[in-house]
Amino acid sequence: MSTLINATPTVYGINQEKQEYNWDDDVEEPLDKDEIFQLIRNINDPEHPLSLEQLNVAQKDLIQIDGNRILINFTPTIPHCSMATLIGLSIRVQLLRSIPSKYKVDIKVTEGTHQSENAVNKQLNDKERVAAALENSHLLQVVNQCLSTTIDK
Amino acid sequence: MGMPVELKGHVDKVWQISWSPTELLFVSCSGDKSIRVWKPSKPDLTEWVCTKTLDSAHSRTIRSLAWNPDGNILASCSFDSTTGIWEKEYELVATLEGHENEVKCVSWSASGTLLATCSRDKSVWIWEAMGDGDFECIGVLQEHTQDVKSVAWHPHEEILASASYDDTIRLWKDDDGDWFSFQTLTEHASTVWAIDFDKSGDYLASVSDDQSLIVWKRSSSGYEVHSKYPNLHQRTIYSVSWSKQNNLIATCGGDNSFCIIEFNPDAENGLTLKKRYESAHGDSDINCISWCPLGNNSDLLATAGDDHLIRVWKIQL
Repeated sequence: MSTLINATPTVYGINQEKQEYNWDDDVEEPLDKDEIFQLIRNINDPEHPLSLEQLNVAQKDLIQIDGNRILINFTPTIPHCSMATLIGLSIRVQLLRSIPSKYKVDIKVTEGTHQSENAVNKQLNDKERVAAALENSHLLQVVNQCLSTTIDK
Repeated sequence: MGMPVELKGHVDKVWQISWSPTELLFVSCSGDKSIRVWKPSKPDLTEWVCTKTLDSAHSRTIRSLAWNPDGNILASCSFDSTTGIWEKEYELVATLEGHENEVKCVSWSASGTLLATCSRDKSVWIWEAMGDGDFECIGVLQEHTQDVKSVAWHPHEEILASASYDDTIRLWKDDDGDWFSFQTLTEHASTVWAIDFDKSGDYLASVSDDQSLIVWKRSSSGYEVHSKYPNLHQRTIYSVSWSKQNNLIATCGGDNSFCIIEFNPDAENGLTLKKRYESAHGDSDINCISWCPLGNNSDLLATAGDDHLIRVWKIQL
């Protein structure tokens, strides 16, 4: 197995009660932070059998919603994490598949937490780059692997 | 059915449309890997039909299309890294290979003898049309430091403009068979998505992820900023079209709207927003906007969206 980028990440507790979150089926109701967090908390880290919530990569307080605009910040476990783009892409794909297309989603690294912050942000928010990435079957397979843990949780 | 006319057919986001320069029709391309040909079916243009679907040439998203100036050769480029050449009633006569990955835009020179393509591989390729579907690469331009998003030829001269994810626009010309970048325009603060010359070629419009429109004016030393419209849109501006019949510029983007801007070359800041069409494709991003190039139909404008739809508008100001 190849060397891990961050071999010993800090693991944080998860909020158990929120696992029981009830989905609101009323389509008229705008999405809230809880619903968005529920969608991304269980995404698996690309190199550990741990969720983004367990690694504090995704946090409810890093989600902002303003009308149909959603901004999600995520915090890589280490500033040189080469998996940052893949994590961001997994969050983007999860939302593309889960929420109505009227929402405009921006996904960014939490400010000051990654050495290539601007490059990662630019890539994650370029729709043409994302569309091309999703036609790459190898990359899609890796993303689907990260998302496999979001089902039935 | 009135205007705008809504055209359904594609089953994924529509990336671009290209009007024929010689007859009233346009082609569209999509993430569904197909090209569709659209023509009006009523004299008052309130109904359009898809007369042909070409879906066997590209294995991935078709990103851009361009007609040659005679309107008898169509070029298509795709994320599958190839460029297709279509002649004689949409028969694929050549496939140009060379780019390492996604080809994002294709453009014919005014004479129709040169074709430019650009790619995520950071390069721009210049191809010479030798006739009978034969193309020869005569230049690989590698000055951009990131993806090249679009290319556009000057309307009369062999000058090429390219816009990039590296936030710059480059201008290229040929010096005795050697293509070189004679100018780099650095005014935009983020990815430059699209560029279009006015009919004289003395002005160039560019739009960006920085949400601004810039018009550049040609001087003896190159192109310089003439006018700027900051925050024209509230999200990325994906496309710009400068009418070849008048001084109207159309822009569209990720904020679901499109804008009609009038350009006055004699004014200090010559850009005036004449009209903004909000939610022009509902809640969807608008990826492409394009004025009809024909003199009798210069008020026609087509838009393409993430909602899989194309809309044809009659613009009355």
